[in-house]
Amino acid sequence: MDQTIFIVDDIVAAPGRARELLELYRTRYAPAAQARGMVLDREIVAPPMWLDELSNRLLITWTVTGPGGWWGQAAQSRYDPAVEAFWAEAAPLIASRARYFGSAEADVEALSHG
Amino acid sequence: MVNLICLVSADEAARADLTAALKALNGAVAPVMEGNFNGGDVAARFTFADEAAYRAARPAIDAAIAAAGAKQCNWALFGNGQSAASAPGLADGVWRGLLLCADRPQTASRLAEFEAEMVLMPKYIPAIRNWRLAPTIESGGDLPWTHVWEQEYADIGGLMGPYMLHPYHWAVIDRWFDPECPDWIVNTHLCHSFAAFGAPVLS
Repeated sequence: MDQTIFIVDDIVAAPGRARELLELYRTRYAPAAQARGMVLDREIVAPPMWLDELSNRLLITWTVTGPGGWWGQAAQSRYDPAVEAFWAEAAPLIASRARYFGSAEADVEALSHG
Repeated sequence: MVNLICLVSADEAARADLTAALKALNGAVAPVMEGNFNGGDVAARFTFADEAAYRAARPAIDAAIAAAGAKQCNWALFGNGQSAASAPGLADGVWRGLLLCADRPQTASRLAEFEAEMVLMPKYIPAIRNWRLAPTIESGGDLPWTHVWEQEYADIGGLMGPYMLHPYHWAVIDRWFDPECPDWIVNTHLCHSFAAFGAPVLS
């Protein structure tokens, strides 16, 4: 199974903290994620301006190859205390967040009935 | 009815006697298969009519495990919980037991949501033939295990293939186990054990 799996971090920054959060994410999270086999797909800042009083939303999308690639990154991050420490360090900069795992619609059938 | 799972780690030389002793106490007993994670060397599963019967039997079980010089025993006592069997009487399949400890801060409603999502796994992953999810009555070993999630598969391929690869597992359920997900509630230290008992244990 070699479908592209998307790992999406959907993060609502604390008001006025989005740039700081994205910088922290880029420097403290992304390099290790790439070492775990995750490939950065895109970073979206919404709205496309930096807000001071309100929250920006950061949608950061990664890809891995197939469920094997997904488990590969998960098995490494789960037992790496640095990952949990990163999210704890970032918490004051975050109002709320979610993480989603998905695929292109064209791959749904193969992934769920493959 | 109450059930007891013991995942015993013991030197190879002691395992045959341990297996025989636990079988003599009416346990389903088998070597833990390769690929387990913290699953022990010998898996034993017992069923008792009630908790009183369990209390009466436990000293002999403990004595057998002690006689083997066991290095560790992760165990859990649990009731019937939620269960179903789509292949009743499956005798030549593979049993898998997961001992988990949902010890992260959580509300009762979130725990109920976790349990409700867990028991949907067999709907989406039909390779799970028979299954049970139950909160523990008591437990011991590495952690105070809070739940037992056990399944029977027709063969090891059902566990290694469809169970692990289906998106309901990794894209839905696993977020409860994943420190990177805000829904994380389950301690990352688990007992993932599987064995071929040669007898049906979930139906």
